[in-house]
Amino acid sequence: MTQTDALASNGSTIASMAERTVVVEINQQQAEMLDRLIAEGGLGSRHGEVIRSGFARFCREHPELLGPDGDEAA
Amino acid sequence: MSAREVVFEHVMEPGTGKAVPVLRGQILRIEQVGNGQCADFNAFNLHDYKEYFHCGRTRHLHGLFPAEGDMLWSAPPRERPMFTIISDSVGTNDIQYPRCTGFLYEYQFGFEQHTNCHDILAESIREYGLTPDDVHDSFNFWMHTGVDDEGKLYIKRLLARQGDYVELMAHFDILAVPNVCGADIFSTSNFELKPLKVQVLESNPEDREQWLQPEERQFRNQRTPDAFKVKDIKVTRELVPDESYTPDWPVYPIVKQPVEVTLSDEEAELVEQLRANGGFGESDGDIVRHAFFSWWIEHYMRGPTQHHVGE
Repeated sequence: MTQTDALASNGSTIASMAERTVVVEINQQQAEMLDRLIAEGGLGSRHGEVIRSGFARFCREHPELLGPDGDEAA
Repeated sequence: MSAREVVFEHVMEPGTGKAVPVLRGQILRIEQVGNGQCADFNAFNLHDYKEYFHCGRTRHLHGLFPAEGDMLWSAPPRERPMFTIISDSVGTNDIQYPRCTGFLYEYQFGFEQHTNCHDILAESIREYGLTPDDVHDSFNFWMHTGVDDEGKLYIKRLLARQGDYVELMAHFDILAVPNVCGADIFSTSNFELKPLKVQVLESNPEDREQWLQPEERQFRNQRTPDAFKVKDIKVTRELVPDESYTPDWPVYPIVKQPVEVTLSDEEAELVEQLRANGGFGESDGDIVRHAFFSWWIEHYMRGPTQHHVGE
């Protein structure tokens, strides 16, 4: 997927060669929850890192929810 | 285990109920005198009747058929355990059906007057100065119910037999109000109304050690009237606006903020696979947020999660 394609298909996505930046909207209460996770340690020191870490863990823990190639991808 | 002293005993005849104080640490016992009688049940804080039993929170925390080990919770914003079911010899109880009412029997069967739980509960609590409007959704002991494939409720034959019982330990001083359910033309009580025995027992130390909850509130949001902006109980029926009112929302405004989440190509592919699942939203941001919070619920949330992920 090219950057142009990605932006055309989804306005919240910016594509690059090796990674993709996704914009997740949260509110102040959800931010507070992320702050607590940061304080606990182990998931990252920024909101984006914590969300990425939880997202990746969720996918690893739920291969059954992924597509036909989910087990391999996870 | 040491014996429990009986401090109150009463047999509720069909067509009747009983409002009975049950103090913190005491045990309310309801027993089948005949075979198969449903008991509808209301409960109020003995020192503040505005705190009362709530089917909704109880259903949320313990599911559709609470039984031994489950608690009966008071309504928001109080939300604390009123009773724990410490013994239940049958294990079929209902908190979905509303109490039967005079309207129901008139509408469905054409009765001008018929025994019904609402009126019996109302007459029971009148002893304490409460009104028919103060009767609330009931916990229905022994009512044997289910939910069909279309999500509709149904009633099955009641299973309790003579001598079957439930025992509830009170966590604070409560006015307990059981009644003999008045439904004799539903299968609720197997088409026959029968007496029920009500007892209040002093618990023994073993009971209290095993079941009694701390007296203090465990969470700041188990609120008391001290925290209310309006502390007095309204005494007029008419509703008129307060001219001086200005909203003071607890959390407002809700402010959204964007968080940039950098994903590897492999992780970006996972986004696509979750999109294909169909149960995570449409935009990349929706999908990552849904997956992240689902993970958080599974690992950090206290109590029943009741969260279903994906299609």
